Formats: sequence, C-alpha cells, structure tokens
Amino acid sequence: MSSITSTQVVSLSTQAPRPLPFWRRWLRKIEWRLLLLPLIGLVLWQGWALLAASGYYADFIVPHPDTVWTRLQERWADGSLVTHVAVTLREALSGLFIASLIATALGYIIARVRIFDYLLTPYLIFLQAIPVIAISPLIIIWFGSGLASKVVIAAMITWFPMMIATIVGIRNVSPNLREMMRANAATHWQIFRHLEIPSAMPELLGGLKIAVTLSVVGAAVGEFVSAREGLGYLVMYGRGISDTPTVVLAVLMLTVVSLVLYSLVAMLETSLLSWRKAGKP
Amino acid sequence: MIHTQTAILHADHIHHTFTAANGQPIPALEDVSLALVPGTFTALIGPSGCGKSTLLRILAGLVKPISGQVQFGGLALDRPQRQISLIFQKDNLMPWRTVFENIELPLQLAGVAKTEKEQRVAHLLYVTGLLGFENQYPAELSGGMAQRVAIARGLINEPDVLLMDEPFGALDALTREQMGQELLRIWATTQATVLMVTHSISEAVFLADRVLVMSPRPGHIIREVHIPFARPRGIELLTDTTFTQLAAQIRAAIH
Repeated sequence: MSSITSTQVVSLSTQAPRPLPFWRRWLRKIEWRLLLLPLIGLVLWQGWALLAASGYYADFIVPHPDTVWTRLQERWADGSLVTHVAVTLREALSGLFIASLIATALGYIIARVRIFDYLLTPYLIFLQAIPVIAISPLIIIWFGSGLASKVVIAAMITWFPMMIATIVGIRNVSPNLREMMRANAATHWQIFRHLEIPSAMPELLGGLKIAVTLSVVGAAVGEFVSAREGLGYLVMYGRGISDTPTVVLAVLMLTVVSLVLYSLVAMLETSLLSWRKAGKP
Repeated sequence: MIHTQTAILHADHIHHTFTAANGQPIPALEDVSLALVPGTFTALIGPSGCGKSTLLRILAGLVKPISGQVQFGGLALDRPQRQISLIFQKDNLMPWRTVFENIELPLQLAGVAKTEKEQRVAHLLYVTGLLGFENQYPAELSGGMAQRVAIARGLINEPDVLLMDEPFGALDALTREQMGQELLRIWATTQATVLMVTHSISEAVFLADRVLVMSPRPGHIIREVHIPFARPRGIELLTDTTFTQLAAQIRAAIH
C-alpha cells in the first residue's frame, strides 16, 4: 500500500502548474488599456478645443481648454489648488472613515442579531430615504460651515452602501465554516477575526468602492452650500465671478480625486483578494 | 456494550428532537447509547435521515441533546473540545487560505507557537501526501485532495477522538476506495479513536473494528457487528468470503 501512496504523491505533484517565464508574467501585468489613454485624451482635448474655438459658443459657456490649463498653472503656482484638493480630500475621507465605523458595526449586529434587524432596519431605511442634498443646508446650520458639516454630509451619503455591504457579507458567511470553527472550539472573537472578516471581505470592498466615490460627492455638496475652501467651493467661486474655466478646473479635479480614491480601493482589492484568482484558467 | 470506565467518549441514553419549519417536533434520536474504546475504529451506518449526523454533532459537543449525557474522558461534555476533532462530508476549507494555512487553523486557534505549528503542519503534509501542495488554494485542488487537507486539519491537534461525517461522501467511487486505504494508513500513525458515519456498507466493514447499525428515524442503534480482520488491511479483503458475509449481515440489519 505504501508504494501505491508514494507513486500517487509523485504523479500528483507534477500536476502543479509550471510557472510562466518572467517576461510573460511581466507582460500580463501591464494594463494594456492604459496605452489608449493618451490617444483618447488627445481626441477629447482637441475636440473640446475645436468646439471652443468654433465661435458658436461664448467663452463664458464653453471655455477653451488652454484657458483651463492656464488656471491650473496659476492655482498650482500659488498653492491654492493643493489646498482645495487637500480640504476636500480631508472632508471626504473623514466622513467615509466615520461612516465605515458606524455602518460596519450596525451592519454586523443587524446581520447577526435578528431582534436588531427587526427593530432598527425600518428606521435606518427611513434615515436613508432623507435626500442628503436636500438636508445639507440644515446640516450647515447645525454644524457650521467648516469641516464638521462636510464630514457629516459625506458620512450621511456613504454609510448606507457600507452597511448593506456588511449585512450581505456577514450573512453570506458559510454556515458550514461557522460549524467547523465552532467544532474547533473557536471563540466569538476568533470566528470574527478568522472567518467573518476574511469571508465578508469581497462584499466589504465592493461597498467601499461605491462609498469612496460618494464621499467626494458628499464633501462637494457640503461645500456648495457653504464653505470657504475646497473643490466644491471652487466651483461656486468660479460661477460667482463668472469664470467658467475655474468651474471646469474644479470639476476636473473632483473627478481626479474620485478616480484616485477608487483606484486605491481597487488596488487594495487586488492584493487582499488575490486568492480568488486561484483555480481559474 | 463496553464498560463506561474504559471508554474515552461515552453517550448515555441520548434523545433528541428537531423542530420542523411548521413547528412540529420531529424525533431524531431515541435512546442512543454508545461507548468508544480508545484506539478503536467504529463505523456508524444507517438509512438516510436516521439522525447519524445529529448524533455526531452531539458527540462533538456542537448540539445539546434534549436528554441524555455525553461524557468525554469521564467529564460531561457541554461544548466542543480541541481533543475531539470533527471532519465533515464537505471539505469546509477556507477558500482564502492556502493548504498550509487551512491545516494550520486549529493550531492557530489554540495559540500554538510558530515553529511548532510549522513542524506539525509539515509532518501532516508528508503523512497525507500533500507535500508540494502547501501553497495552493482549495480552488486549485481536486475533491480527493481537498478532503485530504480536511483530514490533515482534523488531525493537526493530535485529537483523542476523530469524528467523521461521511468524509468521502462527496467523492467518486474510485477516489473513495483509495481514500479509505489512505485513511487507514494515516490513522495507523496516530492513536486517535475514530467514529465514522458512512453510507457504504463495504467501506464500514473494510475500515472499522466495529460497525453500529442505526434504525430509520427516530434513530437508535439496532445492531453491533464486530469486524475481526487483522490490520493492516489490503484491498484484497473486499473479495474475502467473511467480508461478504459480514456485509450481508449488516445489509440485512438495515432493511
């Protein structure tokens, strides 16, 4: 019997996939889509420039991209661009952080304790049904026009997707794995740490992807209503002095901030969920 | 029946009832008593839905019976113990952990030091024929390999009692036969007491020192058959006349 076993082990070992040569692994890692980026950027930029230069629209309606570029250089030179970006980023991430703490805690107890689901869920849905944009002037009245009100608005807009992601993630934890953990005399903390968190990670990161871009929207909405700095403030400021290029610049910067935050979460996802690629051709 | 004192795991007059979705109580187990002698291999066989899996969960300390008591090492069992290991029909591996990390899990939960964990996992990788697979994820393994990992994980704590719930039930017939022999070989390297639930009569006779036959629901033990064959046992046993007779006896008891 032992001879059967040993040959079996040997023959099975050869089934292990042979690693690809380094250059092919390297080629696989390149984001080929990114090669299109300069081309698409050039086309959009030129199209925009043509439209602006055509004379159909006033400069006030469609500013020339070169003017926007000039504004960017001006605001870069005096440091105000960095300040506005930093302010909005701080508001968005603070709101997201607070919302994540509250939403994952709430989502966890709702997913695990039936009575909390029964009692809390209707009120939480009611809370979510309040349009954040409509209530934001009230938030400014209550929390002032500084950082606090923007953090609250960003948190109000991001907590719900995070909570739903947590509920779905925790409910999806395999009951078989739960039983296996219990049979191994695992404590509640160990089940939380070694089963529930890693098992819910795909859903949690999915929720975070939605929430992270919404947090920028939340910060900008707060700044629209009342602020002295930030990219949302810059939009309103540009509109106020009828400087459309500044408005366009601020919108572009908001987009870039959102994109960068989203990409960071996507990268986090790739590294944390690398196991999901296993066993797939 | 074996005397209580010599048994490591001992179930005494277990009764258990389920509540169906419509609120109706369903009697699952009726007056089940059994005792496991250290170092022996017992198979538990019976028709589908006779409460075998429930009994195993009660013996693992996962389910509290309505009445009756389980004793482990002379003490009442009221919750799962690290020295009782349960292996399931599904491999129940964590897909985000590698083979190594899955096998290591019970040691991690018990707070065993890193170097000792590594030594023990390496030993079991060798014993279960998983060397070279330690960095693979469960999704990359075949059903038989995944069940080997589950068995390795079940043995890593060096348990006194190994409870197995149809561990090869999800495997094809050929792999199943092979895994049975593997299990005997691995078991010989341990001192574990085994209770294995199975649907296969020949598997039960091939593996066990003793076969317990359960009745349809509500399950109770209706027959105990001793299997006299010496170990190590080889595949040729399957065609032995005594083997066939014992299998026929058990089959008759079930029907």
